[in-house]
Amino acid sequence: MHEVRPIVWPSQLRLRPGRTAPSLLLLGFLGGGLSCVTLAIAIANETPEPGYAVLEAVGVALLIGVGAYSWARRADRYGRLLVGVGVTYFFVTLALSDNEVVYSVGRVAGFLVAPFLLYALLAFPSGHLETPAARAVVLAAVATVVVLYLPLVPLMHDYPQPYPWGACAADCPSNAFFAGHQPGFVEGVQRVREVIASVIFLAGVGVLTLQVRAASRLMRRTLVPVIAVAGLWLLGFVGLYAGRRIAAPQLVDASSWVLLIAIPLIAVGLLAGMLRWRISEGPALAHLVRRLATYPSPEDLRDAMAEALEDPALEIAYRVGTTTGYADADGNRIDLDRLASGRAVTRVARNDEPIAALVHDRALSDQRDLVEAAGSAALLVLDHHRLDAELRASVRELRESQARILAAADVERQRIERDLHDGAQQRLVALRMKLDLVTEVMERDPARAGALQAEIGDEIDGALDEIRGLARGIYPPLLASHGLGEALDAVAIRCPVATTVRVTDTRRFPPEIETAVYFCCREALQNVAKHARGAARATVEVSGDDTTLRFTVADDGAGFDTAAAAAGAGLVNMRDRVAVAGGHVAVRSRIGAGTTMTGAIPLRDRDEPDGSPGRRRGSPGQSAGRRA
Amino acid sequence: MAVSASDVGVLTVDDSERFLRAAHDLISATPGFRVVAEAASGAECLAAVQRLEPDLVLLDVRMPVMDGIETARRLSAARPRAVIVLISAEDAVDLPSTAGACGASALVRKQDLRPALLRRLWDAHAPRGESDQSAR
Repeated sequence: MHEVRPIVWPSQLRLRPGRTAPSLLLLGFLGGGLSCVTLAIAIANETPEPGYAVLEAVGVALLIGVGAYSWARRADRYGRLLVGVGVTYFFVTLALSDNEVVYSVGRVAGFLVAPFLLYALLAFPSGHLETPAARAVVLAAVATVVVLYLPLVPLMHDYPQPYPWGACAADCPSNAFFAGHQPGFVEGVQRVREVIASVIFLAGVGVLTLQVRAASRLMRRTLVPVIAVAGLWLLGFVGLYAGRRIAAPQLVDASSWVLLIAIPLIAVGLLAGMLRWRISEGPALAHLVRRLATYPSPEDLRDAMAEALEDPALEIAYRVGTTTGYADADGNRIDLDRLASGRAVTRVARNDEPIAALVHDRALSDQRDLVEAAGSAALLVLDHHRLDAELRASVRELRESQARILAAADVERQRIERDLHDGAQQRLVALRMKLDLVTEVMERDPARAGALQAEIGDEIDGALDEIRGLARGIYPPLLASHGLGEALDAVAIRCPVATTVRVTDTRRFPPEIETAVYFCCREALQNVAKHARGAARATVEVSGDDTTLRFTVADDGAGFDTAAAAAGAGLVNMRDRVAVAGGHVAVRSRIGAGTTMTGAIPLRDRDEPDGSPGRRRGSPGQSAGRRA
Repeated sequence: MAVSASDVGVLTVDDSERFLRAAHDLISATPGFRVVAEAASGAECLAAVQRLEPDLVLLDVRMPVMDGIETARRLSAARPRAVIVLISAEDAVDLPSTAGACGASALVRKQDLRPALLRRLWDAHAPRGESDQSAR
């Protein structure tokens, strides 16, 4: 997944700003000036092959010119890269000079320009080497130059001939950087390095071919003109080396022309690729915008965008809720962190607010401009569908949570039935039997009858305790009559961990809100008692304002790793209960830093005509009580 | 059992008919105590106290409309001679915190009520001079 800057409607439907006019002008002067210098050197040297010099000057001007264009239009590193190649190529043309030093600088630059241009070709159009194979080829080229070319420079009295970029044939200037003669060694290394360089160039042709095949259809149209001339240039080198080895003047001559013509053609090919890209992008976007005008359904929108981006498998994920969730148009969750291989994500945002994400072919990452523009054009329709998707997602979630609540209620009813059956009911059965027994033994054995009566009393106390405990679990009477503060106090007193309760908002709230907060806090305190190892104290806080009721249960126990622990049934219960009241719950914990549960329930949009947040139910003493 | 005018007159207040019957049996079976009246709500209780001037009021905490705590507050505001005792099936923990400051003299669990406890309550809380007066 790559990062994409936020898109702003509608001003984004233009290209990103590039270089300003003055710096463009400077680049223009640089290209023109350097090619003039090349020509001037050739004229001063009365070069026997003026065609060579003209092609070289044109090459310098075109490389820098096309680089400047790319730099200005796309503001990316590719333009800068190409300008760098152009300047390096100018140094290559210095080999036209008959001055020993200038000529030698040109010949050394000739070694450097090949890996540089290879890099530029394999990195088109992003400026980055995208595949390991491309990186390997460029790395091999650089290593060959560094190890097998540059160290030999001081050991050669003369540079290898024939040489396409020089003006001389037999009477070439000597190597100005010559230090000591090693003819045998140099000759041996030259043979080896020309074979290695040929292999690298052929590998470069192979990688370029693979890149075209892996590209999206749109990108393929962009790459083909570049690949054609790049292949020509790379094969030209192989031909030159072969011609030198087998001393075939026609092959050397033909390869030299190919190499000289290929450089300006590469620049033209790159320009053609960029223009074709622009040309095909325009109609694709125009067609998309026309289809957007009909306010397409989610399916039609997806089809239209898939067509515009020429990616039939394109998916649209809508941002739903305030969390980081995405869902499809039907509200089904989509996990953008788990994409199929070969897919990438471009997020569409308005004023930094995420609207949707396009899941597309990784090959389209090279055409970020187009994907972003398509996303921007569709922004309003996307936002419309996003609201639908959000609604569907929350309906789905609510339905799931309702189902869980119903299931939980069934489980709870079963538990209560079992507790009543195993507890109070069995005690009453025993009581009935013992009572008859008392009557039976009263006359014969008064002492035994007394003991039986004591047992009956104990049974009754036990049954009363059990029934009270059960009743409290079903619904605490204090909550209904006196609200959260008193009810939570009663929970805190029973908690084995010393617990402080601070309820700063003493208003009464609708029963579903009070019940949700109460059971959530009780569940959290039960978790503290059960799971928080080493907890010495806990706090329960409830506070509210006009819009929100907030509650927190914190402990100072051992804590746990929230990433490693899946949400247990307790947490799901809490979430469901609070979700019914329209709120949410989060649990934060770190090993050694205790655990904190926080929750919030919105108090707005309830049925108070005066807009007051809570519903008052009279003074606490006049609460609607239950039967004792 | 003979009932004397010097016996401690008890008013029991509870919304449960069943408990009222049990309490009636208990009080009738306790020497020195007599049932003055029974009330099924806080309002009935206030009226009965004014009319019958009982010595002891056994007042259930949890009742609809006006609970025992509010009833006790209003009763004690009128400064009656009656001793007010709150009764409840709940543990003290589960009762409102206001139970301790409503003018009641004591709080007991319903299931603990027996003749001996009634007597102890009266001995501990009766207005000075009256507990000796009552029949034992």
